[in-house]
Amino acid sequence: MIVQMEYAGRSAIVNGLRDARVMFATNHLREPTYFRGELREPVLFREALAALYHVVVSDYKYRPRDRLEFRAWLEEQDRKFLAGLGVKSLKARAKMDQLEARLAELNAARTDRLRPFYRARTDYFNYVYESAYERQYLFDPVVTVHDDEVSFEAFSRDESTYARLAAKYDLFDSVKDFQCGTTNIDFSAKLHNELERMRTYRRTRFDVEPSGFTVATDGGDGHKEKKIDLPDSWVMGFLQVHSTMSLGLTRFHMAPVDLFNICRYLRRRKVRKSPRALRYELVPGQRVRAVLEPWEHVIELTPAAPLDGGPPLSLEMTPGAVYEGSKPLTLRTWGRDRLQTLGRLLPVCKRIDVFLAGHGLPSVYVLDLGPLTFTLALSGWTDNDWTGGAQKFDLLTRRLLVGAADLTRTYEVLKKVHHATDGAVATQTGLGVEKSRSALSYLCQIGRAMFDLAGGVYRHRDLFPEPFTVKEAAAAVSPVAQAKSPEEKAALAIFESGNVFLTARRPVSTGYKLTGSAKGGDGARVRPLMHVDHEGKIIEASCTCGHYQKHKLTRGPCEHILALRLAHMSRLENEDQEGG
Amino acid sequence: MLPTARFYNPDGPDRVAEVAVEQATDPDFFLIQICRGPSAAALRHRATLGPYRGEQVPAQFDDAVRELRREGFWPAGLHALLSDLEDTQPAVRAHAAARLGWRRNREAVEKLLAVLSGAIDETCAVVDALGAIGDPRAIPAVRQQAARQLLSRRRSGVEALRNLGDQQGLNEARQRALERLPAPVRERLESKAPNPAALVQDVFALEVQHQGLAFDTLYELATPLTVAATREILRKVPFDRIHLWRYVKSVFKRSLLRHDHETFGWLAYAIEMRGRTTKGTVATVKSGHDGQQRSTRIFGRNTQDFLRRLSWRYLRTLACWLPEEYAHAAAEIVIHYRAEDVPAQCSLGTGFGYRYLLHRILLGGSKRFRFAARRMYFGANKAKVAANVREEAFPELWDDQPRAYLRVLSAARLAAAHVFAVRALKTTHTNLIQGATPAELVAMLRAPYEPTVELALAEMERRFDPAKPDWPLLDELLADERPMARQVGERWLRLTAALWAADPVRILALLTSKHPETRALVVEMTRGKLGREPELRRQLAPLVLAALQQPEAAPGIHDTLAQVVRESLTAELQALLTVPQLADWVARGSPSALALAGYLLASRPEAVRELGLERLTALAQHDVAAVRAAAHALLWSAQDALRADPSVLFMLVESDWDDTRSAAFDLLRQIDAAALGLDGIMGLLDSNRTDVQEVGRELAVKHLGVLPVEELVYRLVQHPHPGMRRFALELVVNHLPAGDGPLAKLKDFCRAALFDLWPQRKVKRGVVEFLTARGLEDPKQAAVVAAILGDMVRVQGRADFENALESLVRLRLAYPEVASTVTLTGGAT
Repeated sequence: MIVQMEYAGRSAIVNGLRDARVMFATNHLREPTYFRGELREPVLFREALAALYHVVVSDYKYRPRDRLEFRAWLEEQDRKFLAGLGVKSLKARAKMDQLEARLAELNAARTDRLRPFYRARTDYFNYVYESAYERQYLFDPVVTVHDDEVSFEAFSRDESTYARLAAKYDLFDSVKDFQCGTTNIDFSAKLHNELERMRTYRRTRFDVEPSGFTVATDGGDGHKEKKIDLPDSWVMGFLQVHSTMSLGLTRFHMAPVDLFNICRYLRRRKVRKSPRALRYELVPGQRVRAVLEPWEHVIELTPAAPLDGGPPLSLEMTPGAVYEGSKPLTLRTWGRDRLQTLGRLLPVCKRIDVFLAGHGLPSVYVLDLGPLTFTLALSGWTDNDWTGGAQKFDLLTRRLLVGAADLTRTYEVLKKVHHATDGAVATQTGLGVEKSRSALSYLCQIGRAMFDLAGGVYRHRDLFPEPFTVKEAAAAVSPVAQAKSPEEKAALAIFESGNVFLTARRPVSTGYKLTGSAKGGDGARVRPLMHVDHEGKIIEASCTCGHYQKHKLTRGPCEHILALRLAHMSRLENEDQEGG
Repeated sequence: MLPTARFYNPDGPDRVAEVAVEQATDPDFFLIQICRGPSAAALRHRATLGPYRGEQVPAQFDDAVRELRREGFWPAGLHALLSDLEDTQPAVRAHAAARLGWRRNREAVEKLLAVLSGAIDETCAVVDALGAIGDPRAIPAVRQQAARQLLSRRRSGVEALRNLGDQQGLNEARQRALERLPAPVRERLESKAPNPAALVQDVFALEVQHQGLAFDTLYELATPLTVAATREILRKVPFDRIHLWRYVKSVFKRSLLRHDHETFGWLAYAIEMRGRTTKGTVATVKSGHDGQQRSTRIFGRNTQDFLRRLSWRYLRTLACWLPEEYAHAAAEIVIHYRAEDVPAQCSLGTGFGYRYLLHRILLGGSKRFRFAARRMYFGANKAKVAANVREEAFPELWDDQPRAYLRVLSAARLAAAHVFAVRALKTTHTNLIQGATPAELVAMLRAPYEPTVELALAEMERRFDPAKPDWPLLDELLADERPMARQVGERWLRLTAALWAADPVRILALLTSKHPETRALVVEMTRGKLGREPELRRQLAPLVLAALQQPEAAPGIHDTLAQVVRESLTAELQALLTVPQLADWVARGSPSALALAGYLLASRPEAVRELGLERLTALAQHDVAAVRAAAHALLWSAQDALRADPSVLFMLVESDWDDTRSAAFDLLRQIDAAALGLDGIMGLLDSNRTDVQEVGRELAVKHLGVLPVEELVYRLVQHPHPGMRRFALELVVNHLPAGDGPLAKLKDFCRAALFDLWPQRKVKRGVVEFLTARGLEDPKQAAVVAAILGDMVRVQGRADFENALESLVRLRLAYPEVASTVTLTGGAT
């Protein structure tokens, strides 16, 4: 997907002696979106932007070391050794040693002589790499201006980390002018360096506007154009993140010092063998334990300072970060090194909310910085980006059928109010909470809305510049689009052929616990187990099939689990009709 | 060679007669012998005419021939060929017609026309023959053929009309050809300034099935433009493709009929060489013979071999009937072979193996090789020949047309071809090289054979006249990559210095020569003269300026010109350029030109005023070092302005260029730093660059007495760079005012130092010590410290934990009422 971005100027920070102006140039090929205000806490904002930048440029994917030179050296040694074997005469051997010593001297002299050249060449390559990197690979963040906050969203280079920085209007002394909308901002390494110069003793104006910073320089205007081949996975990642966030996630709190301890421990040790997970052990009523594998180093989480800014808690007073769930859980998350991108935020962070989707599934860290909220969502593991590993978090949720007209109505309402809870949307659309929630889920899925985990609200956000049309709405809710994954199709086939049986159904406070039997396409009968809420959203699931045994839920639920859910929902509908 | 003619009388008792010229006893006189007999083997001497002087011989010879013709004798073979035209087999008739065409005997015209009226398969051969004979009587019949749709008939007809010189017929054919051309090609041809490249592009833009007809028609038009375009197209066209090969073959046949040796030579070579790489492709095509669709191999092995043989047959027939053309046609084939076309072991000594045509031409007269017809391969046999025996085919024809050797020498890319031609020039045609054109001599410099180059250089030396040198030739020599050629050129350059060094245009031409050594020589040779002659400098300066403002034709030219300007023309160029023009020049051009512009700008003190500090700042960050150096020099001369407004220096210290930063540092040190005030010094300290921070730190320490230290501390602690923390801590420890208020302002600084994932141990320890000391001063400060260190005791690092714990315990002991994360138990005191 080729995405073209055009900026009338460049994003920049202009530092005077007493005041400064931060200007983010927006993509003028998109809707006119702007914001003008004056920052109250520029240093806090600086640290948050620095963390966002670290996420944007981070790439933690494993890449094997290039050993070409080493292999060439080894071959040369082999050659020398073999050549040496053939030389019997001591005299010849001595001569050879002498010549090799001389050769080494000459090589060293040559290296010395060429050192400035190598240095210049390296500088040049760095320059080329950096400029090409920014022009072609650095995906500009998406900025959304709402009437209560300005947010920046970005993905890391390896597409495994999503970050969202939301600045409430409390961050600003005065908000002069704004126009709600979504656009891209010009973001570069140079800008990051310039942002580092933000200080409280300079009155700092913060502008997000199309013109940016335009300086007429010799040989060119300030116009900047980027044409980025945006991977589909990057776009899909944006959509999947919000599917994940709207799942029923396991939540607990963490103090910044705990995250500091985790990051510090990881930074000081290099792991050389598996397992390498960050394991959270959750026991109801007890403090959450973070265990670093393979050292089995345990960090018992402590609560953060009270939000009301009261006196710090003493160790004796501290009850611990108590897990409030109903049953013990042990959840392992991988790619823990990515947490180090939060390093700059730890000193200024007040508290951290951790949301876990499950074993090997994404984890979300929401950092409360006061007027700022920083959300870091990590995929199950680093090499598994949000879409590349065939993750299908949307399958875990269950959506009701929504018509194109309902979807359009929901979109219009959300666009009008900019942000709202599902209940508020339901009230305004008259669709009912369940249907509204499904409609909002569809909108998240097609990039027309996002879920703000920190605020618990849905927000209007058009990821794409093209306007939302009825045609798009119809495509989004069409049965083809709904059942586009092979698992869904297979589940439907199992259900329709009567190959799934609900053997036990136990109502619990949170929904139902189900046991069933299903026969898939391969003819083998398996036993899916599932815990669903009242709306059909999967809270927990397991199955005896190969797919589940291999991947658990990291690639979404298997066809048997989905078929069991269909059977359950069908039973519920029948019961409703009979009752009605 | 004395002429001989043989005759045949089908009716007389003496069936064979021969007229021959012989040398008389007196060498100035010749005799004409007329012999007759019943057969060629039994000729009886009948009459001797003469003696005649040499100039009388042709007339007497013709008289003798006429006499024989009157008696009923036919030129030998003619009667048989005319008889063959009446044969029942079309192939025999076609063969006879072709032979008659080569003989160009007008007596055959009537009979050929008669055959043509009823011809089918032999039509082309008959029309070709009529064209070759060139008798106007054939024009009406040939025009009819030229108007036919069938490609073979049309081709023969049009080419015959060309040979007949029938302009009207050709014009009609041209009209038809233009109508046949696809519209884009036709429009291009009828445009105002068509060129071969555009035509080629247009043809290749067509669909493949239309490309062949297009280039064949272009070749049919036979203008220099269309022929050049066709040759270019043929170089790119794959032969083994349906829709294309048919027309490549057509062009090949046209080139034979037209005796277009250049096209024929390349095609013959290409057919032979491409035949080595493909066995052809199979496609279903419509037969030209019976119109049936058949699966046919295109450009298959049989076709290739047939055409290779045909090429040689054509050369051989040329040698027989147009002997003056043979050597030129053969040369056109030989010149295309490249070293990579011939295996390394193949040479004139070993033969050329599978390179059929090359072997036939260069070694066709040799007895050392035998030909394996099935493989089309020449292998060595055991025969040995003397060293000086000439082995090429038809050596006498090469000697008759020695310019063909020059063609080989100037265009051949195969060393063996050069060996062949050089040997001829050194043994038989020693003076031939004197007739070579300058273009041929220059081309010979690029030969892959050293003696050829030496031959050319020697001839050039012979022709060279220092008083009237051939400048293009000199330029060629100077630009040549071979040291040998360049040495000659440089010697000529020295010999002609008096001529060119007085001419500014010539000087510029030499200064913009492609070769750097030549340019260096010219710079060296002109240096003195330019120093002495202001008028020459004045004339040269605008030319050099114009050249500098043009894109650089070859790398280094602008460098040379810049050197000349720096050494000799600085004043002249300064007079020609204003400051704004120089500033504009700096924005574009090659690096050398930019550097020169910077150099010129540096010596213009008024530039500071005219450009202003802002523009100078931009120049100081230019990519070219010399431009930056010029800006630095100008900034140094603008110290007063910088004292009044040093803000540009704060921008320059952040430059990506080391030289600009160090110049800005030097300027900052020159300016009274105290005048910069706190804001100015903070401007430096706030930088992200460590060297700028270092200068800021140096100035801050130097002027600490006059700066508001408390404010400096509060500002400095906001610096995010870990490297600045130690300096900030030092100031904090020594200059932070007493009281909890100032201490509380450092909370973020302390937390950033303590919760750094990449910490500095000394800084961390220093912060804890400082906090402990301040906390112990009074309870309010203790409360602030307890809040900062409260999280620190939860850190799992042992040293951090212990330091923080110790501090908190001491605070707790000193001020038990202060809230803390530490509670003392067990009666601790």
